[in-house]
This record gives sequence, structure tokens and C-alpha cells, in this order.
Amino acid sequence: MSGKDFIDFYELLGLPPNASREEIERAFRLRARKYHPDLNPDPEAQEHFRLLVQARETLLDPKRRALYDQQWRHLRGVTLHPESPTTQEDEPTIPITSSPETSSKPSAPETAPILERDWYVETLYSRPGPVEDLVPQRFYALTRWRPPAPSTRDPERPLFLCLVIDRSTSMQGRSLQLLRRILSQVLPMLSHQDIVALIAFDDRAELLVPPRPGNAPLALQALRRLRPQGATEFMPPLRLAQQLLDQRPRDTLPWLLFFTDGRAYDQPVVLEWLPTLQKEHLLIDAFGLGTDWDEAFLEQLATSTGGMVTYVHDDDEGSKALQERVVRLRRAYVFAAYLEWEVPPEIQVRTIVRMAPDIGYYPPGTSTIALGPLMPGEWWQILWEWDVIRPLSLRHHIHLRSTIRAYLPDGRVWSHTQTFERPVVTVEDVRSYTPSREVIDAVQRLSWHRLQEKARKALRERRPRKAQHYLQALAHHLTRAGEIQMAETVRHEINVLRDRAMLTAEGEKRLEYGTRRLLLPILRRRNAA
Amino acid sequence: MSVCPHCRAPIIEGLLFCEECGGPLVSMAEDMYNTSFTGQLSVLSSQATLTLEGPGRWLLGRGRGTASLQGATFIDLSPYGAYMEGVSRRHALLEISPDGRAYLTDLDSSNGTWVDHIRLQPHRPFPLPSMARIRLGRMVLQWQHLST
Repeated sequence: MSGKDFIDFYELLGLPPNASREEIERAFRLRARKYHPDLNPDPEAQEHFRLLVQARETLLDPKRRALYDQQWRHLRGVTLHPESPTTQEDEPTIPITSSPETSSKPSAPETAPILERDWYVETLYSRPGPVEDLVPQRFYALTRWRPPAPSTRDPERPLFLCLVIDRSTSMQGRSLQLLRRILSQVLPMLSHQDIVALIAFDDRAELLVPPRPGNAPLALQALRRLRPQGATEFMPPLRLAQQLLDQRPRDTLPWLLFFTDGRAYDQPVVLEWLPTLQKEHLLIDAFGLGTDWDEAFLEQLATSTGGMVTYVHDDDEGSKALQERVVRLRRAYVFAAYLEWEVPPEIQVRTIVRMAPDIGYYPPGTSTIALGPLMPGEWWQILWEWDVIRPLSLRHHIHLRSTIRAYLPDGRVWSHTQTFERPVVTVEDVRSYTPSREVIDAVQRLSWHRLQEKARKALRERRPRKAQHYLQALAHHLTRAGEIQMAETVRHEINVLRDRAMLTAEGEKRLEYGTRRLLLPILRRRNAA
Repeated sequence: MSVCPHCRAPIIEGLLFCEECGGPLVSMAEDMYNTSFTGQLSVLSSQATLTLEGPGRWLLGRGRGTASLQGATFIDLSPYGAYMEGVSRRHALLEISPDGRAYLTDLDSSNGTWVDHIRLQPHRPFPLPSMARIRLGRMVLQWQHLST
């Protein structure tokens, strides 16, 4: 059976492969409401609905599910033990073979989801383990975590949104219009229980709408009256927002939405202050309007809290993304989570990217990252890129220890510690090993993002031809993989580059955030768009 | 250290995709690409469009009874004024390769073939980017990649 026609019903339903019948039924009902032909006339939705029905029928029939799981395991290269949760000691180790007589293939299914105190953890690797005595060497792992599902059914909580809006002179015109249009699509979605506060800032912060339930309409009015003036300073509004969020009702998620079109001289002060925020489990989403904002700064502001950065250039796309976020965050059953890890000295962590539930790029060199909130049926997924920097011998095993602390709405903390263990293997072991399709797919998506990064770097080094070469390669691979829309965007930038030997600031942001978006699983992207 | 089979750049052991050209370095990554590939050819003056599903070869020309090239499907442009626009009977060959790339080859036509203002050398396949403007003699067509 070919992998191409195989549909991952678990991914479709947003469930782990050991999901119970109740979970399947519930995930089906939740999605069916959105895609039912009577409710959604879109032909793509109908096709999606048909698949959902097929998924439900297959997974609820024990015989058919067993058969399906067998194929699933085969294609994804993992073993499942849905009845008997395995502990680390039971994890099968890979036979290391050196003599040709015992050349039994190192089996791909070496990872089992570990249900330690009901956590679901699964890791897929690009090779069975690092190869002996080989330096440098690249190694990828794709890990998913999901804490136990909430006990109550679909708990929805009121939101606490603190809108922090740049009103400095540069916002005049398109940026402010864009912002108004997006928020006029999103604010009416809020109920009379949701709390909204609005802070506008230039070189000082002003609380235009104090936090109160049901005052989304007031925020809309204030937004209409907003008149750009003055310079930009980030620290005053952020401090004020922190004070407001501090006084929130206990079981609401503190959510700060930061909108700006520019930079401020006090950015370093903000970055120093950021670590103190982690204690409060504040979630910051940053929105860059126009092209003059500082990517590195907004990135750090948002990712340090587990939030995300959105490049806003189109009001339709911007408001849909935010609407989706509102709906999802209402259902968050983990408000904040932090992942810590320790690697052996032979290994260097090169990249950490969060691919689910939302995209997050973490700066290298950190050993703690904020994973952000989690909604039922979703999981955190991290792609690690490791370099082996010191030779390892065959008798070794490498150990990577990770701990997640997850903060719940009621103040409880769940923590989960896990040790990833990999044996050191031979070149032959690697040759006969086929990495899971998912790992390849994830790494490929990362490689697209890298190509545009390289192109932009080449441009900064005044090597436009080299930059063009990278972008051409990128457009080619995107086209081959069927990412036609992004390929068109890249081709457009190639033409700009050819004519002017440089890219526009807008073009650079389109490349960066366009390829970044491709890291999200396709289903999620389709729902968001 | 080994080199990338696509671009000859040196590669680190364990890489799945070349860091210089993005080319796949594991065989399984190769077949993750879609093999079927669709493009759309439109005649600008008449709004006529034709969807071509790859892989395949198409001969662009005019006239009834024109013998096509081996393995190519003949596309007759006569209804769109091909004769008046200076299109040759066997003007150019459009190909979509199995890996999804599109190429256009001028078949030594009397009035020439252009892609985005570049005149093609006869019998030399030219890669066709999406949204390319193709000119056969004076007839202008547009090529567009479609999603599969």
C-alpha cells in the first residue's frame, strides 16, 4: 500500500493514536459541526466531512481499527501499545549488528508513545542513533507531548484580552487602517463575559478602555477615535498591561496582544524585563504591521512567553488568523508550559522549532523554552536539530533528559520528566533504516525556511546572484511539493531581485513569514485560511 | 565529508536535505513530491485556456493533418489566428517532466519563440516558470502552474 493514498485519521481528528472511543466520538462531533454539508457549502468542506465520517467509522469498529492501526504503524514507523503503557525500561533497544550473519534490519519501530501518568509522549528520529566516531553529524528528532485531557467536557472560559496598540505618528494611514479592519472583525466575536482592555501608546501609555466584562464595543469605539501622534516607547504600555493582567479573575488566561509598526530605543530594557514575566504565565502575541518593525525583537517578546508573531499585511488573512486564535484559546486547558532539557556534551542543540499547536522559532543556546497554551485534542510538537560534535563509541548510549511543567487554569501544575535514550550505531544500521515520513516532511519544511534565510543573508553580504540562486532552488522545491501559492510569492521576489539586485522590506517579510507558515500541518493551515 | 548529488556542495553526515540547494538526500524524500503535475496554457487574445496534466509532451503548432512528434499531443492554434500571427506548423514543444518541471523548446520555427522576452535557441529546452509569457511569432500565451 502506498503512503500517498493513506489518510491519517488520527491527525484528521487531532487525536493521538491511543485515543479512546469517547475521544474519537467527541473529536468527530466537534469537527462535523464545522464541515457538515448543511452548514458549510464549500466543496472542500464536503470532502473533508466525507473523510471525517470515514475516520469515525473506521476507528470505532474494533476490527477495522486494528487493521488500520497496523497500516498506520507500518507507514509511520512506530509501535503502539494502547492497552499497556510502556515504561522506559521496556523500550526496545536496537540490536547493534556487526557480523553479516545476524544482519537483522534495525527495526524502524523503536519508539513507543509513553503514557507516564497519562501523558502522551512520542518521538520519531531521523536515524536509529548517532553513528560511531562520526563528526560532525546531524540528527533530527520530532517529539510530541500531550498532558492528560481535561476531565470536564469542552470547558470554555471567558478571555482576558489586553490590546496594546502603537499610536505613534508612523501608524498613520495604512497600518492603522489595517489594524482597525482586523479588530473590527475580531472584537464582535467576544461575548459579554469576555474582558477587554485597550492601551494605546506613543512615548507614553494611556489606558483608553479599562478591563471590564463585555466592553469589546467600547474598545472598537476607542479604536475608531485613535489619532496617531508622538514617538514610540515599549516599556510603559507593557508595564501597564502587566499590572492590569495581574488583577485578572483567577481562571482566565492572561493574553496580551501587542500591535506595532516600528522600533523603539527601549527594546533592550524590555528584553531584560521579559524573564520576570515567565512567573506570571502571561501570553504575548505580537503583530507586526507594515515593514519597519524589528523581527528579532518581536520574536523574542512573543516566544519567551510561548506566543507567536504574525506579519500583518492583509486584513482578511490577519483577522481570520486572530479569530481562529480566539476560538482556540477559549478552550485552553493548559495556560502555560515550559520545557527544559539537558543534553550530553557530545551533542549540541542547533535548532528548536515548535511546529504545533502554533509555530515558534526559539533562539539557539537556550535550555528552557515556553511552549504556550494547549487546547484539547492538540499537542506540542518540537523539531530538534542536533549536531554530534564529539566522537561517540559503539558501546555508548546517549541520554537526553527533558522536563515539562504545565500550568493549569486552577493553579495546579503537571510535570513530566522523560529521558530519551539512543544507542550509538554503525553506518550499516543507518543504511537499513528508513526514517518516518513525518520526520522527513518536517525537516523538509524547515529546509525551505532555511533557503530563504540564506538568500537574505547573501543579500546582506551583497551577493545578489547567490541570493537569486537560493530563491530559485526554493521556488523549485515548493512547486514540486505542491506549495504553489508560496512558490509564486518566491518567484515574484526573484523578479524583483533580478530587476533591482535587492529585495523590498515587504518582500523579505513575505519570504520569512510565508515559509514559516508552511511549517504548520496542512490541516491546521486550511482551517486558519 | 560527502557531496550533494544535486549541486556538488559538501554535506554534513545525517542531513536529509542539502543546505545549499534544498535537494533531497534520502531516497524516501524523493517520492514525497507529487508526480502528477498540472499547468494551464492560455491564449491571451481569446481568453481560451487549456489545462495540461503532466507528465507529458505537447506540440504547439497549427493546421489540420500536421504530424505530431512522437509521444506528443498536438495542440492546434489555428482557431486563434495562428496563421496571421506567424505561428509555424510545428512551432514549439512544451514538456512537463515526471518531476514536475515544465520546459519549452523552439522547433526551429520561422518567426521564433520567446519566454519572458528571452528568445529561445532552437532545439534547446528552456525551463518555463509559472506566469511566464510565451510568444510564438506574434501570438502571446501565458503559462501557469496549477496545484495538483
